[in-house]
Amino acid sequence: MSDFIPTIGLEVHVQLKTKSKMFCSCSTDFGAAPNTNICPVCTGQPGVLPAKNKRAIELAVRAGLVLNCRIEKYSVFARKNYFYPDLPKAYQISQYELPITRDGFVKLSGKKIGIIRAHLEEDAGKLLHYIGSVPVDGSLVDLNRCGVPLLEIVSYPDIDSPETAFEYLKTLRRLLRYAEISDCDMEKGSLRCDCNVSVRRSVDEPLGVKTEIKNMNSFREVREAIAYEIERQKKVLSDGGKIYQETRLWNGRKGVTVEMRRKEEAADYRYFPEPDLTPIFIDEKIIEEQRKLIPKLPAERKEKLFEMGLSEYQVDVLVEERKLCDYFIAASENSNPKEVANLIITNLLGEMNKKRLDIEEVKLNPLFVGELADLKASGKISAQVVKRIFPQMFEKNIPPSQLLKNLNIVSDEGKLEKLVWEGISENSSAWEDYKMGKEKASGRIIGWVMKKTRGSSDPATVKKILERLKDEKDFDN
Amino acid sequence: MDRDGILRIAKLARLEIEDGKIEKFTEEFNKILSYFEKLGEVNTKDISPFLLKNENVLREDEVIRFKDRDRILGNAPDRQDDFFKVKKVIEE
Repeated sequence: MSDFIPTIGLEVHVQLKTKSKMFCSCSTDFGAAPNTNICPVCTGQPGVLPAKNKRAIELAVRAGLVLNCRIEKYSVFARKNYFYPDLPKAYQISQYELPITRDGFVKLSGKKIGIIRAHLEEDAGKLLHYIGSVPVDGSLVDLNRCGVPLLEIVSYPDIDSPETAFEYLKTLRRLLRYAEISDCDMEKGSLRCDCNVSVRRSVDEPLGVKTEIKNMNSFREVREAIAYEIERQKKVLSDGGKIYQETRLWNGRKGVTVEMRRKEEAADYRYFPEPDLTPIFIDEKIIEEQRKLIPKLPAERKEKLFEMGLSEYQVDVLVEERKLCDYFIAASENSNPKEVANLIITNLLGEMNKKRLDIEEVKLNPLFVGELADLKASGKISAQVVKRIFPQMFEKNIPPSQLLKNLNIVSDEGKLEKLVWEGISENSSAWEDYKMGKEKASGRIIGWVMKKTRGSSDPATVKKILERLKDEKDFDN
Repeated sequence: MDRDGILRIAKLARLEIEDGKIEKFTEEFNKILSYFEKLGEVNTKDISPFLLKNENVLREDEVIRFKDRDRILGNAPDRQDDFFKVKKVIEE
């Protein structure tokens, strides 16, 4: 099979973080009982008028800034006409010729992916064909989602592999979450992604016929679906076949894309400017207000974390969620950053996982994590002690020093030395062997001290003391 | 607008036109179109849409619950529990 070059473009829909819908005051709550968040406007009753949600427009401007787009001073809504039962008005209010933002890019590790446009629109309703597992003798419509504000982000076909598509989506999601534009939760439908895929034999040829793939439920599935579709197209073309412009559905269970509808003629949506809505005017004031609300973004934070000496893995984990990163920065302000990163990734995330908590729900003061990190870094307490006290710190928000006192944890070297001397006199034969150079013999004395302190002393510290005592003895002799 | 054009528009609008009436519709449709053509006589080049003020008309992002959703559900030709019910939509 001769080599083919894939060309991929993504259309990503994200739900904007608003309380109410795009053109009416119904709630956007996810998971509400069917048809509870509906009103005459979003169900398309005669004689109603839409009214633009201010926050949705502000969030679109913020998204434009984060995506390095040009923010248009003047943009308009348009009607996209088609019939489907999830769309009661028989048109979707979207943007066509004059979108609110365009011409941007998202920076990945190796390259830039261009953004053609990011425009506002409203979501459609949801169709149900089953109740539980029982098929309905028709289709059921829930219009709770109908009218929820979306931002459609259209990339240039700058993506050349499934892996790059995956990285683009992860980067995009991180940006939109950091700036609190969208939750980007695919499971809750607040992020959806359609992919346009084509292949050609060389860059000198025009682009091949593209197919559009839909119905992926995770970023991993997007990557798999694109990889499958590229191979499918290569095979068809290598066998002398033809690619048709069509929409294909990803079947995650079987790992294949299946033809859904073939586009024999271009869909005729008869777009025209929405006569019920005035244009959107964006001035510098709105842009500056939104710019101020954008926090330091992941790329900049990554650099800072690398400078602090963290590993690539640590940086990736900490930068993924803004609030986790904020927590790390607060905890490491005056403490050993590497140790803080360790504690957060191993212990804090571990506890959060066990209790199924988000970082917002964590009560533990980050400064206490910093304190613990320093105790650990200076060797005053061992990894075992950290493991033992962390759950209590986490649950009750108690500083480690207090817990160590309560637990009677011995971190004071003077106190420990006394205990080591006791251990030596209780295990005099082991001490003699150790002094003769039998390293292993030290284990009995360390074990004795550990037992005496009920595991609350650090074996490494005990060993260090023991070594020092041995050397001092040598010197005496 | 010719016969094919009328059939295409009818299809897009989900309208069924009896064979015998296609000619009549074509004629009427063309009359309407030529009436609107008059608007094309006015030169609107470089003239932007008329607005009283170039400022945003916006709504605050607040939730107001609509209290009479049963009337909306009742307006639909068919319902099942709290859903609108429509003819089976084939999705696969």
